[in-house]
Amino acid sequence: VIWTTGVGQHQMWAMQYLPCERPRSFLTSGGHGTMGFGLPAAIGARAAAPEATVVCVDGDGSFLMTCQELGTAVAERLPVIVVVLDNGGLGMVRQWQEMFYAGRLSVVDTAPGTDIAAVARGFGARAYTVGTATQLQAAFAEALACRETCVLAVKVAEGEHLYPMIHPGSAALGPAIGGLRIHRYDGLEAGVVDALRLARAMTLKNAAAGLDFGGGKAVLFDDGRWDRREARLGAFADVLERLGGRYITAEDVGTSPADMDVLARGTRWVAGRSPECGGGGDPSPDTARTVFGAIEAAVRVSFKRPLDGITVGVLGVGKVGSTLTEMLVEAGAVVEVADVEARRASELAKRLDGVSAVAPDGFIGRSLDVLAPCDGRADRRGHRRSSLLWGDRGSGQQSAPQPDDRGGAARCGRSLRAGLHREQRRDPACGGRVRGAAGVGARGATLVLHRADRGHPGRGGSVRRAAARNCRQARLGTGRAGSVACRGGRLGSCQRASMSS
Amino acid sequence: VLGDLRDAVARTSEALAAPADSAAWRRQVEGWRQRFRLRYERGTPGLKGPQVLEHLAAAVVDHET
Repeated sequence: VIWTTGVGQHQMWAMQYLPCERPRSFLTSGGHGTMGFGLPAAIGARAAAPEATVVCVDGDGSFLMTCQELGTAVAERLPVIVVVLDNGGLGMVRQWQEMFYAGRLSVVDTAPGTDIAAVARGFGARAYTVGTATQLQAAFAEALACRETCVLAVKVAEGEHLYPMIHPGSAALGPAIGGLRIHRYDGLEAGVVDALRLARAMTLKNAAAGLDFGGGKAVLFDDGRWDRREARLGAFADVLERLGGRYITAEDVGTSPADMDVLARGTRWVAGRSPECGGGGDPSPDTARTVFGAIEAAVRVSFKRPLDGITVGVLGVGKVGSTLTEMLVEAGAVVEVADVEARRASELAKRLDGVSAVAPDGFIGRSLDVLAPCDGRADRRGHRRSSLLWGDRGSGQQSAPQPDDRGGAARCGRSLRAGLHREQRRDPACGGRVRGAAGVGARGATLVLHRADRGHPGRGGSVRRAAARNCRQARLGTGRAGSVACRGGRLGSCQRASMSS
Repeated sequence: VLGDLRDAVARTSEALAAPADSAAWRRQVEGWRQRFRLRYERGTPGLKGPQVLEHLAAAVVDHET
């Protein structure tokens, strides 16, 4: 049998499932993306190999691009078999938009409701409409036996995703680096989306920090059965080793330096091991220090003053947030803390003078000079705009943006500042002014806005909307992203991994 | 193969006439298949794309034997 394919999900499934062991028995355009390739290729193959059984596996999107060639096949009496996997649209494009564009679907329903079998009959081909496995077996057997041009229009599920999937990216700056997160997700999709989102943030952070690394992130699904944690981590180490250094992992939410030690037994591509094993240990104090430096520098630029007396809101007081709070208090800031685990916030407030605990809901609307988001869970509770540091009570000048390169702000790369300023120029009426920017924080890009329209409360919303836009701009980064997601960390599940570098 | 198309086609055909032994490669691929089993959702009604390909693969094996 000679197989041909179009381009899309069906092409990848064909590669995964069809038995092809002889040269020139699988004709596909590989990664060239030439939709419509399958049927003409099948006709050519049948003309060149008259004794061969030629089967084109096609998608409805690809098929409809060159289906008129059925007329050629019929006219030339070339008995090719076309199996059309009809999911009512462009499945691969839809998958990308669902996974990488937050489900914003565009032009994926090409010709919904098209009767593929009727189209085929119109060209004089024998055609079958297939909806069940039994019908498929019977129709394909007939097609193999009849020696005519045949089309099987097979209705398959819409919205099905293909795995593994490689996210487009670039490792222009170097191999992807980013932590390993073990977390409980509401399904594979949620984990993959989180991994991609975090990888993009790592891309930006590495670029902003001037490191020769791309961004990456690994997510293992916490299925509540981590009693065999060491074995699973060992399996993950095996995956890392096979990636050959294209991705370097480290400690993140749900993992510890001890876990990195376990990984290090199976792979070289791991950072953040414990000091006993020659590593740097828990990186969260460093992260907190970086965020603190960024806040300090940005406040100095924006408000022309030190942190003393500045009101800072810290959303999430885990390892990074609590250390950051301690440093802020030490510097004389007034700190309000909130956490989805209220007990953590209240205990911190009891322990430190000058700290008050408040509820996370509505935290974004509080009157603060600076907001420091330090917990992804808070984001998922509807505090998406909390990935901002902003100052809306300052008394700075109304001059043009003047990013400062001193102190912590120097850590903010040119690309980040350029992105922020570009966005601001695009919307000069936003009422806010990016005064200094501070990146490389616990939750990705952060920025400080000086509210230029002080005294005009009606424009406060526009300031915050502009801030949100700026933040999104920063988060999108430059596309050098990478991620690996595996359910439960089992090797067998790596078939369903999403990876990029 | 880079060069004039006529020459390139001829040399490519020569190369393909005696394909390299791929037994070791196929064993490796088969090992991967065994280790990383392909899976798809089977619990919902209707045909799935991978399921269709599975049927085709099985039918062709029967057809050829």
